Amino acid sequence: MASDRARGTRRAAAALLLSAFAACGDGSAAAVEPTIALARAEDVARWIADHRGAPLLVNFWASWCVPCLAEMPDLLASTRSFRARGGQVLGVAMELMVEVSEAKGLELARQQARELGLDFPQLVCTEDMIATRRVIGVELGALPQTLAYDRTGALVQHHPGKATAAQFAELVQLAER
Amino acid sequence: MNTMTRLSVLSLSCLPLFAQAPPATPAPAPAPAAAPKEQPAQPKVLQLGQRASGDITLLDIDGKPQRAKDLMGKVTVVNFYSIQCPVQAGWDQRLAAIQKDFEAQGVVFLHIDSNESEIGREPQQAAEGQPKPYDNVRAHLAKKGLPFHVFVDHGNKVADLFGAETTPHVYVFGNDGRLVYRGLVDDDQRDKNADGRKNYLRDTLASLLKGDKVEPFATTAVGCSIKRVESADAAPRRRPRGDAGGRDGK
Repeated sequence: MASDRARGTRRAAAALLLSAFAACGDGSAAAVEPTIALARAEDVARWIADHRGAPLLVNFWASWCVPCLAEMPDLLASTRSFRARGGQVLGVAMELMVEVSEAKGLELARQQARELGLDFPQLVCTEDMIATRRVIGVELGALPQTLAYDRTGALVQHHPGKATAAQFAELVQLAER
Repeated sequence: MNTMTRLSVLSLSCLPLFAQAPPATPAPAPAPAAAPKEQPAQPKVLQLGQRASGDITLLDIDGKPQRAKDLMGKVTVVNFYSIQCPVQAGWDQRLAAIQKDFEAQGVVFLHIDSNESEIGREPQQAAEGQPKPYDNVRAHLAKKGLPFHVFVDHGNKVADLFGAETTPHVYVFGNDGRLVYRGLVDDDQRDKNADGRKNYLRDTLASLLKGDKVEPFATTAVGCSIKRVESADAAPRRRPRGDAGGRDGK
């Protein structure tokens, strides 16, 4: 129990750090090491809720997911000016599998984020997709999945599967509308 | 389904994979005020409650054909499978246990690998002095001790007709050939909730074998996307607003 509480506190601290990081995002973070932390599904939902007021894209991905990696350059490029205008992008890495520990999952996501040059916050979800979608309230299926929220916090689009640059641009447009 | 649509399904599949239930005679439609804008043909997929005809021959990894028609009359599970997907791997042992329990009661299990990245673009032929075809699949099953009878789906024609998106993605047919369930094996992806999990596949099979009426239902599958052959005209998929709440996750 004590270790669970300590872990929860560490996660909450990480979520706060990420919030601060994201709130300061000005699009010039390309040289910044991607901020990445373990998070329960509730932490992911809280992060999303806490960023109401700004348009937001949430991208669910994993280092083992080929189409996820393939779409990342388009996600990065398509959201650069969006982020410069105050839009937020959150990556949620679904790394943890039956044989992948939290530490291993965090490391896998960190390494992949570095290689991809991801310069927006990353949460490595410690729960599986089914548990996570229950908490988030969206029927997430096969990775990747991208959600667009507007400033009021309403989900305005759910894009299942790999998105193209044009589709990311459309998600940005919908989030900013 | 009208004749033209049916033909488009058949041409897509190259094989008459699934015949839909006989279409109801359409009521005469009023003449449209203006010619409708021509829409690109959308591939039709097997729907819940529809019957599979079995007019297909599947090839297993030994190159042996299996006529789906020969399976008619039996409760059948079709799972879209991957040897590389870590999500599939998380369900492998539980799926194998379900298979063991229900094969003994006459249920047929077919695992279909539609991933071009695993089976290649073209069918592999057995040749003397050469490794057996699909040796990677065979080696994976042997290493994991999995009793799965795997079939190959080059060009992902079967996956397209099923509308399969992920591995795993489970389909259950009753002994009347109708699709009664599509989706998850269970809701416990990482095997952490044995007491509380919803055993969609196991419970559906048990109900069918008991002779209970099973209302067709689906769950949203999770897993790795099927690595389909690249299609230049692949239609973008989009889920409309309204399938979830806002940022409070309600």
